[in-house]
Amino acid sequence: MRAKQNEARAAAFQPKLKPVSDSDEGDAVRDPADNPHPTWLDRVKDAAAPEPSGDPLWTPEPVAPSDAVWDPTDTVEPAPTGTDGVEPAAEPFAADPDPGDLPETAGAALEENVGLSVRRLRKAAVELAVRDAEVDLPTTDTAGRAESEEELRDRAVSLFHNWQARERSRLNSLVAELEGRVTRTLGGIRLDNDRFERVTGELFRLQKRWEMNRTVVETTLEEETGQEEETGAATRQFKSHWYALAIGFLGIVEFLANAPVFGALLPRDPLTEQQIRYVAETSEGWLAGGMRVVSQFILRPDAALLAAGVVTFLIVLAHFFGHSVRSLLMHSSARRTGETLGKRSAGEFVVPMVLSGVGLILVLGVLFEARVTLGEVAADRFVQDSAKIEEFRRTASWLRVDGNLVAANEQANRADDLEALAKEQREYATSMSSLSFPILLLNTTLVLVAISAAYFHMWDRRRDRFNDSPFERQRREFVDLGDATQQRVVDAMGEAVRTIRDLASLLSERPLREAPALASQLEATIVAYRAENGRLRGLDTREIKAFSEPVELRLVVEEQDMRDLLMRDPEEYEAERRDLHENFEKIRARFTEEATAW
Amino acid sequence: MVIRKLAALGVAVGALMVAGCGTQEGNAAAGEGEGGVLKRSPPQLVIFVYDRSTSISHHQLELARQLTNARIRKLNHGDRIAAHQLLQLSLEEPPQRWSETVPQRQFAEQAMMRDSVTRVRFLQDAQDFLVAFTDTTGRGSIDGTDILSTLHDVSADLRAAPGREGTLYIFSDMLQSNRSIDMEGLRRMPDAGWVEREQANGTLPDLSGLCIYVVGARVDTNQSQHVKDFWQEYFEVTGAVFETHNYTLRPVDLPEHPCT
Repeated sequence: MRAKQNEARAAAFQPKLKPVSDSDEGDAVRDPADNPHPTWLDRVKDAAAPEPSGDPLWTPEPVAPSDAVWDPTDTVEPAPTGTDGVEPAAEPFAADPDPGDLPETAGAALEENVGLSVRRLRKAAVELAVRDAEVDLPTTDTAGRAESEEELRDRAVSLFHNWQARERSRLNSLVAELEGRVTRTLGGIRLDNDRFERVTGELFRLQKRWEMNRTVVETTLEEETGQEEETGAATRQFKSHWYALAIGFLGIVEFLANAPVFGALLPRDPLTEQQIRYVAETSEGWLAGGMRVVSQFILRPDAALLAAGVVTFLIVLAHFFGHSVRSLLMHSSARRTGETLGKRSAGEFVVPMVLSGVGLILVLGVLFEARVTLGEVAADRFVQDSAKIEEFRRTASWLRVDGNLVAANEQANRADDLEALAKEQREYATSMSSLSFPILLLNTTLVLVAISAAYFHMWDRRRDRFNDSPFERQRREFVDLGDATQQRVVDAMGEAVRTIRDLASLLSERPLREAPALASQLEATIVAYRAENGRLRGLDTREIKAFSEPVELRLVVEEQDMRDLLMRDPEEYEAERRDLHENFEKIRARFTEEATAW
Repeated sequence: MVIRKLAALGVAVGALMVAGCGTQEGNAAAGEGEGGVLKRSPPQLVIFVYDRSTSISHHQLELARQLTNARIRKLNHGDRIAAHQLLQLSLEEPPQRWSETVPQRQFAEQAMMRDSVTRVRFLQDAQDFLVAFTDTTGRGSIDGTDILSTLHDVSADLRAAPGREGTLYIFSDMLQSNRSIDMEGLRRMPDAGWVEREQANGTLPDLSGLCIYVVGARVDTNQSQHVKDFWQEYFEVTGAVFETHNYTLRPVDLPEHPCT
């Protein structure tokens, strides 16, 4: 595996043998999917490549405008500048108008593939050899290098130097990019460690606040509970005796407000009216008013019972309605807090609440309709009573003429009684009918009061306790935040390890070791020029003095230690990473302890 | 604590109830009812006898009407009122009489507004009804004045109302004038033993206890004194209570209890 990787790495610096298009020359970064066997350089490029989700960590320096201008002296056509950034379609090598020309500018040289340049140089050497052979150059007796060979030598040296400079520049960029990434990653880890420590501290303080508040609340609740147990008071907000008193008073008020209506609606008995009048006239003292009121109900038991029944309906319905509402709310509260009692469902409280609510509406509606109808009934009755009154008075007149004064008086009394009663009933009915809506509001208010009383009278089995939900919610938020920070630190730590390793690997390699091979290839182009020239001229190259000089180009590699390019040694990065990891582990242990201590 | 509060509340309510009961005097002073328990007096029987003969002047009948109304207004619940127009000649004539009892109180011990209204209305009706007994018109057909026969009807009223304090108010000049006795100008006066003789025969009415009060009889002449003497003897024999000062001509008002 290791050998395979080394081979792949070496292949990265070898000229490609197959014809490639110009567009392929600029592919500094290859799609890993296209290369199933990435070399170390590919991995370095991948590491240095900008992350897809964020801003690019490194972008190549843009080509200067002067570099993009095609120089007619250049033997290689510069890469066309795409307006939309898309590389132009690759042209076949055969279509190149002057494939033997060499890029003379440094910018053009940087754009070329090394192998392609050597091949082109070799092709240019052959062409120069053909051209010189046609004119029989160099002459056999002329010493010194031929002009064409000198040009080839210059081009070869230039190509070599360009290649060397480009490699150094590329390596510098890669190293700088990796260092920047390591620095940013380690800085991010440091920030996340700080954040993680703050979260852990907040978690610790939250626990202390929770303990303090819980202690205070529970102490207070214990004191209150002790007082309730001493006094024997039940956990009702509205005690039973006060509830009974309030409901009783409400019932009396409701009864007094509605009983006369039923008394006016039901058929009347003259004797009853007489008895009521007697009580009204005979009642004395401070209790006279009460006696008169009570006599109305005692002497009209039908109306009183009907009114009492309606009031009972109202009170009972309001009682069940208030209890159902309270039970429903308590049930909902218990469901939220997880204190669900037994197998009771909300429907058990909803059904009686709805039924009692409908009952209340019906009863209030009946009372309202009764008062509205009372006006019409009283008007009809008054007409009938007026006829009776007229009859009584007519009879009394005849009796009076006959001297039967007692009978006349009786008739007159009946007429007066009936008239007074009819007028009273009509006035009462009229006032009641006009006061229907206000009395409806009064009845509604009384019902609401009864509902409220029943609501607060409901036995509350719940006990007050310390509410730790806000603290629990904050704790979960802190734990989630801490977990997210941990995950981020762990990911960044892995990224840092990989980047540091890549940086170290990059520095351990010697990318310029291919320089001798390249030099040999370049020297071979000179040899090819000489050989082709001699062959075309039918001469032995040794017969040509100009070719007697050795081809050696003296291409020297300027070796430099790659570590000079670094800001810091990878070991320092690794040491810093280890420190951060140790610090992270300490914080993580403390965080785990704080998160699980509740 | 709760028991103490309830006890205090009970005491307060009890005190309020006791204070609310009040007293009769207090209630009367406060204007409640009509003063509480009624001061009861024995029921009365008031009988009015009217003489509409032509010998009675208009103003005398008018005076009789006024005095009647005034006396009627003093009647109380349970009092009985009776009115007679003097017969003209004998008991054979159909009497013109009327009697009613003032309606009783609904509750004897309790004054009620309704009773008052009934009483007032009845008394007003009675006054209106008795106007016919003092009517000054249509007296031309009256042929005589038979006081003695009318007193038999009065006696019947008296017997029909036992236990009552009876008072007879006679609006007349007390001059009996029929076929057997004509006191006008003393033309045919009964003889001296007539009263005893009639008493012995049992033809006199029983007027026991009936207080007699005469309005319209003159006492300023010898003839009138003679007539008065006759009636005094007659009422004494019949058991009525007759006092001299109750034999008047034009009294200012009718006393409620003339014989006491």
